[in-house]
Amino acid sequence: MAKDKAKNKLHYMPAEAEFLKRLQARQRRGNLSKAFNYFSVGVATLALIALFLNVLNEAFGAIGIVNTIEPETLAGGRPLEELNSQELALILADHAGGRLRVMIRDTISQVDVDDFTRSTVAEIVADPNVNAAIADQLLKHISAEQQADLLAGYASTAALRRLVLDNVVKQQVIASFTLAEAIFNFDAVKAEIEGRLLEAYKKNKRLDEAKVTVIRFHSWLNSEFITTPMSSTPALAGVRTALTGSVGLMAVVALVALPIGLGAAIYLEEYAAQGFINRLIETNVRNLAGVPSIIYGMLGLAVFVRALAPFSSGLVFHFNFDAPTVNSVIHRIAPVFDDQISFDGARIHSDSDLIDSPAAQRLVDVFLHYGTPSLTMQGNSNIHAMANSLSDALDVTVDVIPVDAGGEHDIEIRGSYYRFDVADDAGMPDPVYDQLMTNLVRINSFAPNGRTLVSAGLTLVLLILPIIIINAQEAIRAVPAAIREASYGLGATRWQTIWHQVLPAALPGIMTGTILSVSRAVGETAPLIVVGAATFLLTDPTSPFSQFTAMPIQIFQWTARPQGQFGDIAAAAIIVLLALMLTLNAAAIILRNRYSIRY
Amino acid sequence: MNPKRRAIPKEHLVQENTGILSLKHQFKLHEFVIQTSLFACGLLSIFTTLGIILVLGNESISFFTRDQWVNTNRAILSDMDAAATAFTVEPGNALNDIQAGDTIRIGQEVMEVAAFQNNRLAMDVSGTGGGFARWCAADDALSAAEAPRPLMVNASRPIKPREIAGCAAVGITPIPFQIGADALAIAVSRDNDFLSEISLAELRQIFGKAEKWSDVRAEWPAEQIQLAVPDEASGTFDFFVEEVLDNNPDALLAKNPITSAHDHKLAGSISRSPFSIGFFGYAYYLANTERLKILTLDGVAPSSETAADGSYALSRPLFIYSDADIMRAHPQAADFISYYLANVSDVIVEVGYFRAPAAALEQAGDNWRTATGDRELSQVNPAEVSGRLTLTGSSTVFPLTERLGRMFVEAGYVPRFEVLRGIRGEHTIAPHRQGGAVEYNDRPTILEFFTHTNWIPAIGEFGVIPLINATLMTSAIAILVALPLGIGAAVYLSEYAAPNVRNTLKPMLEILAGIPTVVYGYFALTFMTPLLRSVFGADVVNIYNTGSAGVVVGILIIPLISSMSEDALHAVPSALREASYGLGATRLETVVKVVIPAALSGILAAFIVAVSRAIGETMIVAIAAGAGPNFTFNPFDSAETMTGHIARISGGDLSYDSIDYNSIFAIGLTLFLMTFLLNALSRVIISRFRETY
Repeated sequence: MAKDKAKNKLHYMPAEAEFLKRLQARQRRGNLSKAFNYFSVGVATLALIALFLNVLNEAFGAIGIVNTIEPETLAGGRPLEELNSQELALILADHAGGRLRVMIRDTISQVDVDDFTRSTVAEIVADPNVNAAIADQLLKHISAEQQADLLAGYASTAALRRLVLDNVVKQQVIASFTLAEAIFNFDAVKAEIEGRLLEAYKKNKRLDEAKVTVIRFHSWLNSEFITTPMSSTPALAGVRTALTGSVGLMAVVALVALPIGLGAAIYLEEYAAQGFINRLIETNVRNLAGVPSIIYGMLGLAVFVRALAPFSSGLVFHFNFDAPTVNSVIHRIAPVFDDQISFDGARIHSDSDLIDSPAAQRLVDVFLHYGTPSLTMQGNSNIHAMANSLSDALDVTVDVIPVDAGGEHDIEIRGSYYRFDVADDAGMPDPVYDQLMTNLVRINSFAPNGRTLVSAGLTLVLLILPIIIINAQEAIRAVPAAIREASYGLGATRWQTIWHQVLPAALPGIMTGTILSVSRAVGETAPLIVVGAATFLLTDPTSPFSQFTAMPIQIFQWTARPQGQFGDIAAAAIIVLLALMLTLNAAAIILRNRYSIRY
Repeated sequence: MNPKRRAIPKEHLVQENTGILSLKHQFKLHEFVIQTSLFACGLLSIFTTLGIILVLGNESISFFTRDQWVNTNRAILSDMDAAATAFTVEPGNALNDIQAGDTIRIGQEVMEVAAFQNNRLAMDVSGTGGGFARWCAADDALSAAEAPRPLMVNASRPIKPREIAGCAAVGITPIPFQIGADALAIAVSRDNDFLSEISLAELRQIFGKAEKWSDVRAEWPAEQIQLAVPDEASGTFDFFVEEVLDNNPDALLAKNPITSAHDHKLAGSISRSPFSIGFFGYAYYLANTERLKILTLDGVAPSSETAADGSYALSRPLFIYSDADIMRAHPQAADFISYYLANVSDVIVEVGYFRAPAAALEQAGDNWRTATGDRELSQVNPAEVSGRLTLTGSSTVFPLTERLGRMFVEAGYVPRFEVLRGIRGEHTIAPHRQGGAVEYNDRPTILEFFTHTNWIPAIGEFGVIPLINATLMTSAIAILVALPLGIGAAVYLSEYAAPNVRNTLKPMLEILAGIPTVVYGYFALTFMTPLLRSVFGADVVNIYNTGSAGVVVGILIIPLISSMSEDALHAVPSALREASYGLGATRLETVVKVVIPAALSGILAAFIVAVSRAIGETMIVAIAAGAGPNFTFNPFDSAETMTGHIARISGGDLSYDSIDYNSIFAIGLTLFLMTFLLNALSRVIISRFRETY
């Protein structure tokens, strides 16, 4: 029945009026759907715009600053910029006191941190011609003025000004507001900062006297942001280590992925017959392109970081690493026990009341273990494992308690703080354990492990190889068969044809694909998290076997932090990352446009 | 030009067939090396896949076979700490799961349990009648209630013939052990100034038909009588009904008295009104003398003598009941009763009851000897007793048994492990370490992994369902957002857009696709979540929620869907469109009825690839969906996805070969298989269902 009706309908030709009515209805529907299609594109575009505006809104804005001491009052009304090194150093000597030695250690010291307290002034500044009166003295024995003189003599004026700002003026950003708030509602922002926020700040810091607050526009993205390493204070943090890490990763990825990907593409396009293996490779490459990136991270963790740890840590290349010896360990832990522990070449003796000789021996073994990577490196970086080993060696129970912020006895590891709760019947004082633990963490953090730049780089190589291969295949396929045939016709071998004819013709396409893939690798976060990028790193990577961090990791870290200002610097870091990727993409487009050959 | 190449003599090529090494072969040898190394590059992709499968598989196997230590520390400590806690039934207590053959860890030592004696006395209150009912319940009723049959029953009256018949049905022959005597106290509030003595007949009226006090005796106030009585399941109630109300509780129950199984609650409600009256065991009166006043009954006050010689009308015997078979199968029950009989007379007065007549104790001793097959009733050393003791029944006897049980525990009846030191070491019995950190081994099973709905590694719960659920939620939301928009954009680009518009918009969409996902995560947290919160209300939408993450994942995959779909739409030959237009179809009709069906396989493939991408997306969900597995279907709640969990766990200070380390690989394998199957499916769809023109 229904079918008959439909049939009848088909044959039924409506009258003109109804025909027009229907036509209009059809066209109305058409327009509606067209509107939806426009809407779809609009939403996607809007999302893109919202994303960029959102980032810009956070990366720039207004901040409220409070100075602990007004800089003008330090040198009789003269601004800091007009002072010379000597004057700045004097300000430091007046205000910083005991912190001077830390400043010397962090800015001008030329000796290893561990040896700093035992070194003479001449050793510290690595200058035998330093003021003879103090050259042979330990730093702690010279006066504050003499220490300030050292700073004035060996640090730049800019560095000194920075020290004054950080340690004397102690500029603090107490509030930050987004660009939109700052532009459209500046009065409210000003009132908020000068009222509630300043009050809260003073209450928090137990300050009585009113402080002058400076409210100004601030770009979180600035040259210092790019050139300073990270910090746990948002206003002082930068992306330098992350940026160098990302560049290092790019280098590893490009150097390894390009030849392998190119080789695979050439094989698949030029050599492979339609065999089983080749079909398998072809399918497999396409399947790999769809594997979630975090899975690659897990592959990298298991293979590069763990299984190949001796290689990826640089251990087998004797790279950058001195294995600790019993002597060096004794050198490290003896001060904790008032230098009462000694080693006669065969046995360890302890004259300390706190520890007997067998326990000292066990302690040294623990240090040796965590200082020297075993080939499997199991659980090497785990603070709990270290605490357990320490407690086994000393026969006490050590509890590790994560704490929010660092107190006097808390130990910092990768930006997190821990406190150690020791249940000890033998009566060794807690600070001894704290010092032992701090030392153990230090020796461990210098022990190489597989969580290095090269591990992460190789992981990313695996991740982008399928994309490089697919792109390169397309580029090679685009080279007309006529070119190859002409080459063969002239008697060239297959490899000669590929090397001299096909590759040069396909190269712009291959390079474009590779650069785009590298740019994708630069933006990848998940695999790096799994492989174990450092989250708090103050030094640039110096070799493929260095610890590293990367831009996306930094952004992730800051985004995950609750304080508002971390959101601002995360936005600034996003701009840096997008700029880096945009540069890469632009390079790819230029390459494609300038060098691509059209047949 | 290379002269060498030009000089290839023709005969070399001819000699190919004759087997002499030809020029072609010489070249091939050289090329073979190149070809092999290129082939190796190609093979690397196979090794990558194999590597992924091996690594994930291997670590997953480790996960399902490794020792997983679950802490029972708390359970043991509570048993040790206070004997009081030993008197509560704790179903599901981890200690119950330990058996001989399990591995446990005390401190750093791992040991195999040779024997585990869960020496605990667990007792609850169910009333004498309720106690007999549970003791003699059918086996299937017990297993349905997941309560084992108690070994003994506290009873505040002799068992009734009806109950004996019920017990016989399950093969239990109740044996009474009289351990004391109790007197029912008739009590009123201290504020009551008109009552100090009462007769049995008056009592019958008060707890019977009388409404007001003046109905019973004219000089009493014309106030409503308020009653507080032990509940019907208790032996006290039965006893009272039997002795005072001639076995007919109807009138009493019709008056809706306050009832409770807990006598101290009764004492409380009596004390609150001067017109209240109630009865309960004498012991509870002693505990409440400050607020309650006891009445003499027919001029006799309850006391040890009046209870024993029966001159106080409301006195009654107290019993422990058990069964000969039970006492033989569970000698700890026989030991406990023996200990009970030997020591009860020393403490019973302190608890608030009266000593049983000597003859009754004698009789109980005889019953014990008969039940145990003529064992001698001797002083039992509780430290040598092993096995769980379970009691139920009367609340009247409870304080007495509790007292005896506490003495029993203090004398050494505590949980004990016998362990083989070391997992395969020599057989020595370590003394039980009181309060030591005891952990026992509970391996996660594959079934548990896929069926449990909790992911709490700390207590050994590894159910992946909450993680999968969160992943599917964010992916579903993403697809709901991205599929219509993506296809709409594709249709626009392919069918409507002018070429130069298309050439501008397509790269723009590709920019969207090229932005790192961590930036999208930032966008979700700082833009989408506040947006959702302002639309739906900040109290409805959590700061971390799957909805916001899902929408942003959707935005991320719009370009993927639109780009793949656009390719498919573009590949449909224009002849089809033109034919459709030629028949008078509008553009919409052409798109819906001609172009999309023709490109359907491509669009379907795009859809599946997009699902796979959404499932595997990590950073957006790690930042915006929340940390901590949560089994919820509310898109405004926080929940951790599979990828988010892997990222969070591996982002911490992860120690190799820990259970956490292994567990993320088991999750990773699940994730890999899901995405792999989806990708393979999309390829099958493309190759099998593609319309070629």
